[in-house]
Amino acid sequence: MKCRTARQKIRLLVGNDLAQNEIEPVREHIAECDPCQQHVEDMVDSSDVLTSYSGEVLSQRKTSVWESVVDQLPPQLEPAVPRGRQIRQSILVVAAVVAISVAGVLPDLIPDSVLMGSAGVQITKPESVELPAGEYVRHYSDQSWQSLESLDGMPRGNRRGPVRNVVGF
Amino acid sequence: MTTSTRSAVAESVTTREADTDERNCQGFNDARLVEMTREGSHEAFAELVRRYESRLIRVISRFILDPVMVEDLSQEVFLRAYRKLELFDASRRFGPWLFQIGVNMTLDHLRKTQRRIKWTLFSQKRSEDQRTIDPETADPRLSLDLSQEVRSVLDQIPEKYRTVLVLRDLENFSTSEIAAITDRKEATIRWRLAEARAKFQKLWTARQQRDSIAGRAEVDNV
Repeated sequence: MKCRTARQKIRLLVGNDLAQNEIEPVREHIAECDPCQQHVEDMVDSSDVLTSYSGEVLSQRKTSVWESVVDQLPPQLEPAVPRGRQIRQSILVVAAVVAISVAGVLPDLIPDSVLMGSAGVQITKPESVELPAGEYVRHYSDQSWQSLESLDGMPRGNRRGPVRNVVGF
Repeated sequence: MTTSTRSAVAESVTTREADTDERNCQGFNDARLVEMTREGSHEAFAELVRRYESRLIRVISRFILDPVMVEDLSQEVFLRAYRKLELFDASRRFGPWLFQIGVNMTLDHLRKTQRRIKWTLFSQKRSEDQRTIDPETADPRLSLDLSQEVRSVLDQIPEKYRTVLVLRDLENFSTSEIAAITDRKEATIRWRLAEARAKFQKLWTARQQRDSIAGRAEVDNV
């Protein structure tokens, strides 16, 4: 064992804070090492000083602090929500409010091309179907053709369904 | 029965009931008292206060000299513990949790005081510089007794080491209790304890050597 390691353990040994299995190797080292023996003596001396100081009589109260505490007790205990959890809950509430707000506004902010792009298809007038010139989408349920112009008047929420579910050519 | 007799009897009954409550609480362990306090029993909390107040006051006194401040702080600690009692994890021990609050509040108080002192010293530095030194009181250590000397050496040890040293060597908490109080691993506490003892030993030896040199010089002068 190196002296550096031994001395660290000696400082615990003087206060009986060294693990049982560590004591013997340290004692063996001390028996063979004069400087570490000196360190033991120094540590014991300063430990004695602390021990004598620890027995010092500190200020003693004749009455209990309870008499002063009881007058200041709040009417009820704080709710059992840890501070960390309170913060997390607040963040979640704010995030939910922001998400709902964004979800309400988002369809109006996104251009048609982006919504249509989600289906990956740019619709053009089909050759085999007699329809006025223009751009069309095919409704996902009844497969009917709807012009994009006719969709302009619809609320965006309604339009997104058929446009997203279009089957491309 | 006259009115005064009736009120005396009523008072005596109330006192007996309070005494009975107190005696009833004395038989419970900390966990049960915490539970009863959460259910609204002030008497249960009073019992917890009585159980821990003297040791708490001792611990705070190790860091703070002013007895009035020690008393104020100990009250504050119990009040905070009461307010935070719903947050207390019943699987843990109440004592270390209470002392954790106590030590944290004490160290916070010390830090605030030290900041104030530093600021005061900074603002008064000029007038201090101009002050002449009285040779009779030049070395205040000459008038210090052992406990003051020890306290003075302890004050020179950095806070994180001093806290462990005070709790272990002066107040006899186990290293696992100190780990719970300071919210550190036990291995960290043991390492800090070894360092703290080494620092105390070095500072104490240096102080003793300075004192003996000063003592020899005084004898030579005589």
